[in-house]
Amino acid sequence: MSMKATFKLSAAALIVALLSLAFVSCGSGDTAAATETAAAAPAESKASTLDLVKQRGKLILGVTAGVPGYSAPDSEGVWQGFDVDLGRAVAAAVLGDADAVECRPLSAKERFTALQSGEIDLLCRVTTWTATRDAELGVNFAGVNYYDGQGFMVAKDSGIKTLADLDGATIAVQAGTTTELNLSDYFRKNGMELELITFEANEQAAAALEAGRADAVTSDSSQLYALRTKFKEPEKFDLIPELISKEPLGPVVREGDDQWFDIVTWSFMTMLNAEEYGVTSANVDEMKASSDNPNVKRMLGVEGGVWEGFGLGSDAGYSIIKSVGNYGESFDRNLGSGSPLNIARGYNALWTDGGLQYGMPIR
Amino acid sequence: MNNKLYGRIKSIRHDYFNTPVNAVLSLVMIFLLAKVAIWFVNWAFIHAVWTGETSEVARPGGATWAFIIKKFRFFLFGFYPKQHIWRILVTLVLMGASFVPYFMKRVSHKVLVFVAHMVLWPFVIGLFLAGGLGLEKVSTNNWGGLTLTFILSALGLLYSFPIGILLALGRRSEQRIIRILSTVYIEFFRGIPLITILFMSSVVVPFFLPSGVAIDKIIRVVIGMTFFQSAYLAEVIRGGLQAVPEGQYEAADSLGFKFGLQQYLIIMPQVLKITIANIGGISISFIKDTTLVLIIGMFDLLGIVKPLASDSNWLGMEPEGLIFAGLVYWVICFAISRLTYKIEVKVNTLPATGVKA
Amino acid sequence: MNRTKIRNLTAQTGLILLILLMFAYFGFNYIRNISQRNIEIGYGFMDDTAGFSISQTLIPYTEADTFGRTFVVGLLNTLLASVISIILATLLGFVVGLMRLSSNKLMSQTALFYVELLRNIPPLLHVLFWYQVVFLNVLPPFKESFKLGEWLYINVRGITIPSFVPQDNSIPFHIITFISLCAVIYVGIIKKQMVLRGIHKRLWPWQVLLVLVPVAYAWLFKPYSMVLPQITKFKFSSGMTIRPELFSVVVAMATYTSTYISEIVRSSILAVPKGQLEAAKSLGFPSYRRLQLIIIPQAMRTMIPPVTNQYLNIIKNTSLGMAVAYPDLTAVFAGTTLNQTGRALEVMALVMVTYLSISLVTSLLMNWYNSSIIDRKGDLISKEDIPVE
Repeated sequence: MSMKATFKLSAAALIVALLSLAFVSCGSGDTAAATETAAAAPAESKASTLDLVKQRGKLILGVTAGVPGYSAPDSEGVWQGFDVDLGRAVAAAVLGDADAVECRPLSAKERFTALQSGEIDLLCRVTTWTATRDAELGVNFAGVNYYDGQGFMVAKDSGIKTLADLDGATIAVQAGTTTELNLSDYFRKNGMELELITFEANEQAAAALEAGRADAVTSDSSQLYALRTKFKEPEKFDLIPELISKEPLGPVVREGDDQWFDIVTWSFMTMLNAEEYGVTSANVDEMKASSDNPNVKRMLGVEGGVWEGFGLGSDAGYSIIKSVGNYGESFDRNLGSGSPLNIARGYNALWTDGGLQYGMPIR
Repeated sequence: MNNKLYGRIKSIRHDYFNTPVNAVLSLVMIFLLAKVAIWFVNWAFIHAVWTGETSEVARPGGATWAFIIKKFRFFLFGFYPKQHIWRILVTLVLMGASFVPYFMKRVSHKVLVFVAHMVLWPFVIGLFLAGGLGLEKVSTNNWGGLTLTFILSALGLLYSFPIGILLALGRRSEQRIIRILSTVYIEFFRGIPLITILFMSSVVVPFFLPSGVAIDKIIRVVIGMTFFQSAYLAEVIRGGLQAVPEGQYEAADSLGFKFGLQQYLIIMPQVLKITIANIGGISISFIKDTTLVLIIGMFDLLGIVKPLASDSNWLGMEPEGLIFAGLVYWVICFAISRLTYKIEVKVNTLPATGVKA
Repeated sequence: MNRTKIRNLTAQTGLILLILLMFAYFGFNYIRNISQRNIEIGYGFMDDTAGFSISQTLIPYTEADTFGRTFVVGLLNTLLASVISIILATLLGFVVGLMRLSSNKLMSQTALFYVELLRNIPPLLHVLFWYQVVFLNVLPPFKESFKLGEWLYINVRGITIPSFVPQDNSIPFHIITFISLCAVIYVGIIKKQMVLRGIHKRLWPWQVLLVLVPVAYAWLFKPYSMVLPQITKFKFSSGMTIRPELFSVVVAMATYTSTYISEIVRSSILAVPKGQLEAAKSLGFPSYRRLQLIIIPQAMRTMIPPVTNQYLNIIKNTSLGMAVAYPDLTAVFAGTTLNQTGRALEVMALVMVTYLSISLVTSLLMNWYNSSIIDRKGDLISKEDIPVE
């Protein structure tokens, strides 16, 4: 008899086990617990990302699995980079705390799904703005934080100096990127022959060049610089000066949440305007107290009430500059002279300096 | 003494040079093996470098084991924060300790222990590794190395067992619908590569959940692997079920045991005994299968080789990393295969008394 | 009795309802998620232009072709890698399996070492080892190829051998070769029958003669012209190159799976009753005849189901090639195409169904072969994937 009882007991325990597994599997994902409430809310009205982020107290940012300068963990495991800075700016604007960002490394393959499904709030992952993506993927691009172009890196001793020299070459590329499409387009258009090897990750593609498996590796030129720092003998490799595409890289948000879209756009514009008006993280307190420039006053929330219109606190602009700095500071720190990449500003100079970066007026 | 030597020479002659063809073959083999062995010993030991801070210490023709030694922590624990590594150790000790009841004579129903594992392991892992209840949270992105391999294997095996048993019983059920469903499940998951399941879990599953609900990648992977593995386990168990003599069922019936009790007390113990070698083999397969998570961007023992070899101090150390990882997998899998063999021998030499109640 | 029936019925209905409910829930979520993001549903994208190129294609393919064609290209690459791996794994598996049974201890120990060493290492690591370590780290760069005359070039870009281009007179050559091969096999069958009847007559000179006919034809009339590899700036403009990606996948799969096949071969041969072997010995059959006539046919019976499983494993495991950029079905279609179109569910569903179909067809073929060589009375429950040690 006791045997039967034990059997029943164990059957019951089995059920409890399976249920608790289900419970744990929903509960232990950090995001799940916080976002459950959002799912319960009426779903036909689009869940507000702003409320979600505020409720969670943390912004979940989709980043690369590690591209130096853009998003990569430092030696302490903390994510740093140009793209991460933009996420930090948004977190500073929304939550008043630039550190309230959790970075989710995503492969090129996963990135849009992660955004579409709500796993992340914002995607800053060297992602190119194209019409197809806007039209078909259910996402919106909230600006261009880096004007990039597709380039080629080759071994210096290969004798390849121009794009025309690449006819018949073996070229390594990362799978599932616009890079791959541009490359094929360019070679077809110019009647050049191409052998393409498609890798899962950019690092693998670069390794193929380093080992001599490929004659060139192609990607956005910014990434090529970053990849080169990982080479054993970086001095033996260089970029062909020509570019074959326009690659405007920018932050991406889910379609259908205009408020969130605006917040991301204007967090970025604030960084641009701050550089234009000479506001830096070092002098922002002083500027806030003493600047006569109405633009600066509105930006830092001294007057105007611009930020309240987005559903943010009046000091949103101030806390962006205070904790992240302006566009120029972020660029120098991560990509420019203050970094091992040492990329020139080029197209990414302010419009006042002959570049393309143009902050919309804060009025 | 002389006799012994003579005996040895005789046995060598018998084993290696008994016919002219064999003699030639043996000589060729000895030559080839010696060449490979000499090269390997040179590379792995004589020209190898054991200490150093960067890959500049590397010598041509020799392995740079200094890389492995310097990065040993990462091979074991991934990018788990250094100050929290004690939590991994606590988890491992707790999980290891939870095996003790299996060896206690007083615990008569080991199934309950197993169920306890199923309930408690996720909590232990969730609490200590992921953080909570006052422990600082550590994102699952930082889990990696051998720890991740271990967690994926352990959880996958743990949950695929009961599901596999249910499926095996289901496939032999007299109720047609259950039989069909079990068969479809088993054949489906046995027919597709594991990598497609992992892709499903990383790019499709998020769409199946209500908007805003996200399940951590690790949990999705464990669930996907459990689905996959339980189908294979079900086939192993079914083989065992078929091998149990019909008379055992009849005897159990005549004792008036209901189905569940019959399975639990009479059939399953025999099935486990019969299939022990295959279960061991399939466990080894599961452990090897966990390496596939590298393709979806997780840093298990194999996956972590690449990021470690991209450290600017240790560029180009991939061969050493891969070979080290291979060695670790080999030791684990070989140990399990020896262990199952030992258990099999032990179980088969014991008289078949069934379960003492 | 009736009560059990009712209970069973309720249980089954309940189960079905539960499963339907689950599917409905997921389906509902999926459609809501998709429509919220303005993503289309369906396979319309298969006719769109793919726009990306693929390194290894068995059928003509350019960037201007459709996504549907990328599916076919990927599938063919998967089949190519699978077929080569299966052939190599079977050959290696037989050799190693027989070596393990060799009376020469050195042979059997080496074979055991081979099996134990390779079997306990994950297949993905095998693939990465061949690609990352052997090709990218050990082999010389393109310009400093390892050369064997003008015939063979080995470098980081692959292995290049001469290609053979059929000439006008290749068709009669094919016919002659085919006929002579059939004749050789026919003579072999006759010889086997004779041996079984105890007639000892030398027939092999006939076989040699038959083989010599097409060889002589080839020598005299040159039905194929051999084109030696020619180096140009970036690659070989002629000759046949086996790319490192394909090579790595195939060699990894062949060596890894051969360990399992060798174990199956060994245990199947050991399972043949000793008496059979002794009987054959006492009839005076030489050892290779014993193997051919008595042992292998009987061992085949137990061998086929587990070997089929190994073949299925190879087909599924070639998907690991995506880790080394081998453009198989998973890499091309579930990788690049999925990424360019964003139709995750559609693409993954198609890929899964395809693998299922390949597995099913392979199983059917092997079952058919199995039933054609044995009377299916035999007990074939040993369908496990892993051979018992």
